[in-house]
Amino acid sequence: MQFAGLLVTGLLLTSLLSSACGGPKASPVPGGSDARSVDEAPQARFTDIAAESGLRFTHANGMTGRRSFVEMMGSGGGWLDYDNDGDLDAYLVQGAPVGEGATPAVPPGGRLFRNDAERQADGSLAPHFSDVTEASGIRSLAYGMGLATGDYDNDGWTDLYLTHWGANQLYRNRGDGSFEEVTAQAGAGLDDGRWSTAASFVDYDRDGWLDLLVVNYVDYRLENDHPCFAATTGRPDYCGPASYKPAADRLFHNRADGSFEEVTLPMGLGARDASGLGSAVLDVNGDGYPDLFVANDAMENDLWVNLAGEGFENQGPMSGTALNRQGVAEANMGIAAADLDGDADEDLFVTHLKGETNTLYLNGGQGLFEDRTRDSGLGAPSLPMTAFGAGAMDHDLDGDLDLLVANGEVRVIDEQDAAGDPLPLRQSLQLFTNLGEGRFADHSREAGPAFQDLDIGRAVAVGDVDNDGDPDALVTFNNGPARLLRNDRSGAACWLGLRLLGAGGRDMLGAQARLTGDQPAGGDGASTQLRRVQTDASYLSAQDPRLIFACVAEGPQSVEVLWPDGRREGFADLPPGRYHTLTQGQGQAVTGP
Amino acid sequence: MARRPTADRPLPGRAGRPPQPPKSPPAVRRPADSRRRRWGLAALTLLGLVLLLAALKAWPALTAGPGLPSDAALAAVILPPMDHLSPAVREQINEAHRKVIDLAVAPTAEQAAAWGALGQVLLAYGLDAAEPALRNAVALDPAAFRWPYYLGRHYHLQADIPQARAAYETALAQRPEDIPTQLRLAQLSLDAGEPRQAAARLEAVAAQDPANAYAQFLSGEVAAALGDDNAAIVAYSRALELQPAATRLHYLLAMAERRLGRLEEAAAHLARRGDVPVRLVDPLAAELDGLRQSSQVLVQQAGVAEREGRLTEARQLLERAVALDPQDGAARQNLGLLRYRSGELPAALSDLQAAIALEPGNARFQLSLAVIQEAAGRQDLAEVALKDALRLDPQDVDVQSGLADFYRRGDRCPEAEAHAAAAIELAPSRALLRVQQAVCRVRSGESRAALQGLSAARIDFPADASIADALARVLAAAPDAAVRDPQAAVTLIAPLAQEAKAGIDVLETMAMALASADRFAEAIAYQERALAAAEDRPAWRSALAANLDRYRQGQSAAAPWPDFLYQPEP
Repeated sequence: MQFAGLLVTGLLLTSLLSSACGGPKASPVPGGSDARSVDEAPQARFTDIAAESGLRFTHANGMTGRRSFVEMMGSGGGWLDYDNDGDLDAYLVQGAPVGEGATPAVPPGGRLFRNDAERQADGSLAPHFSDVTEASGIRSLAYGMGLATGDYDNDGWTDLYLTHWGANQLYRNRGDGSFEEVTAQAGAGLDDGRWSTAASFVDYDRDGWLDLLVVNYVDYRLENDHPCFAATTGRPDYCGPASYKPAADRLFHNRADGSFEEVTLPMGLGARDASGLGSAVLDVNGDGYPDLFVANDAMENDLWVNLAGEGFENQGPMSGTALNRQGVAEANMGIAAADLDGDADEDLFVTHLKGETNTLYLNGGQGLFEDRTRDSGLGAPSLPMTAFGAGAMDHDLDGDLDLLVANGEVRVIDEQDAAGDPLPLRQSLQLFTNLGEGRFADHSREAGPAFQDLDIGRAVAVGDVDNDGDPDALVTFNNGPARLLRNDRSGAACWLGLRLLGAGGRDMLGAQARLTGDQPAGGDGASTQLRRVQTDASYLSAQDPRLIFACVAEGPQSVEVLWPDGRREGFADLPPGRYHTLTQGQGQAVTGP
Repeated sequence: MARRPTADRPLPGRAGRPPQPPKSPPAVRRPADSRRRRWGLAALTLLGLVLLLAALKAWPALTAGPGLPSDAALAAVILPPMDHLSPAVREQINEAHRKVIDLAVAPTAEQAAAWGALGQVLLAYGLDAAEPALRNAVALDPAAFRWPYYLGRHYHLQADIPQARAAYETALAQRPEDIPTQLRLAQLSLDAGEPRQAAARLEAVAAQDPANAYAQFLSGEVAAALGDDNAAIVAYSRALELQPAATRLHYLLAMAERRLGRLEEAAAHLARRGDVPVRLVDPLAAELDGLRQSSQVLVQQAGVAEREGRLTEARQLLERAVALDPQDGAARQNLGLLRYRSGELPAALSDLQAAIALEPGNARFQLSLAVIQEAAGRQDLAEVALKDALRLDPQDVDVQSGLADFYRRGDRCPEAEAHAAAAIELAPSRALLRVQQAVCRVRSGESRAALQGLSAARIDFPADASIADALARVLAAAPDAAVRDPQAAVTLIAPLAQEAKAGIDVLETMAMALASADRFAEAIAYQERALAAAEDRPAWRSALAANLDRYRQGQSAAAPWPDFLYQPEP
């Protein structure tokens, strides 16, 4: 009955717990045992060089002691080469006071750091950052959450979209070291004033212009703020998403004239409101059209499958990615979308609350996934952690993708509270090394001191900040200093770096490159390495759009690129050990299967 | 910045155990000064008594089971800070704590019971100090079943699989037939990637209790883990038969069907999936639930019970919550709403008024009050409450749509328009709001605006049946004849009306559209079907009968929606 709904509207208001916190999570489900011992994993070690490189940024969450929901969710950060000088610059998102009396005081706005990497005597590059926010023209003063990077106007300069708890902002890169805010003139709705979290630039209709997905979380405002309580003890604690109404995501189509129009409803994305925290673009069924995965906190995830650019259909439930294998909607937060089992299709890794495992969904190739967490070795080590950011990176250059996970609680940890910590949510980072075929080993203890410290991890942005071919990571912490984790991998490894550009100089988000051949020497990698140009995924962060491969043979390498418009090209004779810029149209066209 | 402990914390009497996840940073042993004074003293007192006792008499030799302490030393229990806990919870923990101290020189069995009771209370509240308390109980009374079982629950909840398994095994040694313990162990085996071990346990359970839904569910999990999806489907289906409320099983069935390539069957199960898990009947776990004395916890448990359809239990929990903490507004509100659903309007009103007195700034409480006042026939007071809610939170979509609906039911549609528009602005993805707006626009003589709004909604929600239905109604029977388009109405509603499960409203809309196209014989047939389907809806039957008469007289419907939509609900 359709209009029967009108008769019972009043009853809809009567659901229980409208003013209480979300109910307790399902009982922890113990995960499987690790597939192999840590001893078998290659050694990698990360060193925090944030301070020595000048990347001095401390997030302030604006807390006032009232345990406001928003204060423990942020904030993000990420990479972009805004000045096109070949090294990664960084943008770090800042909080804002949540009401009166915030301590510590919150410095105003997010910060842009320019990297002027310096060549060292041994030939390596040492990142050197300067805070150029004032000169950049970026004024992000609302409560910052995350960012998306992409060249929406196809002028060859990376632009910036900032999400907030408050009005979002679009900044156009002028190409002279500065940005101009164009939110108002670029289209209605871009300044979404709700609690936005993730955002992804994606050319969903393959017209050569980047469109924009904006993910919203819940309807939390100071006006409807209310106290919440721990599920077990009943003492005051942070709220969960069930305490507030979920908010709808929005999709904006690029009009190719510097402006956007909202197409959420006509493209089919308005079917329901959901508490979204993460977004990732991937092609789940290999049809060449980008699909959208949205991680919804304590609700079913959405997998918006692209219907040839004409619309989207949520295939989350049938795909097996909406829920975990037991049919539970977990506290989905961060995402890694990449080929994690080396079978040349894109998989999903989603991070969750303590008591739930992080979940590994392996793609069967046609967009039908299986939750393989239990067998992967990723389950049990994640149970005691609340995970947010997740970066897929081949840290040991063995040809398969490893995972770096940022953890930090959202519910008070009794022991830290007892110690008088005003923000008792601290946990440690984790590094999982890929052992091949979808199995991982927890390698955190060997990954360096930064992995032993307890802090409130949030965003993980993967990028090669020193251009040495191994991936580094920018990690943000709630109410703490950001860290720049330089990968000090031991031993030599052969690598190939790629930057995939369109004719206009735009990073071709969504382009895929494949490097096929024998397994990398000494590694256990797959025979085909599939990598996608992406700046989204993880949590509230922006990734390095460049791709890194482990060599599959001695000497020059050959790759095949699938461009976002569906064309394929081969590029041969690429010497390893350096980055190459591959421009669409300059390769050898590939036809056939 | 704290640093993770570099070495695992050793536990008494256990050497060479596998590494454990970090349990307690050093901070736990360095409570804040104010708290240290308070709780450190208590802990020291307790520890001192234990040590004194240990010095006074030799402990009997203890025969610990696998994974449990085998020495005589009791573990120190340091209670967590309890400043923020409700007085009832504090008192409950303190009482259990005092009993341990009082019985420090009592016979061993009594000491064990006291330690166990303390551990049980701490476990009920998810506090880590449960572990040493329960371990002491196990050490003092190794023949008891319940203490190692609770210890197993603690480790299980902490995701410490080896220790949970050891503790459950110890419990099972005392009571080999205990079904919950066997099922917990089977679950652990499954989660540890040992489905065949789990299967052996489950066979034993099946011999004892073939109608155990949880065992059937786990059998399905085992079969799925072994790649036998046909067997998994049989077991899940049996579990569903035994516990039809466990709607989460439909998801497991869907995934198993999908793996077998039967996508239609998978889709059918997905359509029926829900979030109610299979319940494991476990008296000892139920005892923990019964111990919780926090109103907030009880409200949350009530929410779970309500979602799972256990309304009597939900009500009892809420009544306990209110009794425990009369100052808990949420408990009052939710109890009021449950009473409202039971038809106890005076009691419900009283609860909501009490909740509002406790939290006068809570818009949701006002909204709930309005629903109950309206049900009680006090439209005047309902309107006051709704306006109060609006004043408190104009950005709340339920408040705006609630007001729009209220005005519609009072046949005050011109007043509804602003609120309907505000609700749509706040929640553009809710299709039903567009229908609500159109219903009132037609009543206000704004048929063209209704048509325009629904046409735009049709673009936004191309697959939404409620929009299609509403638009067809306007096209068929708008009072403004210039808006009508009978052929378009028929085209729009026909696919929905031809579905086997077409509802009363769709059948009625089809009749309306056919009548507007002067196809009265077909209209009559559809209207009669609608009438037959509305057997238990007297108001609707009356409206359907009136239109049927019109069709028989060769007249089309006079309005898209029946008058009763503009009147208070009975």
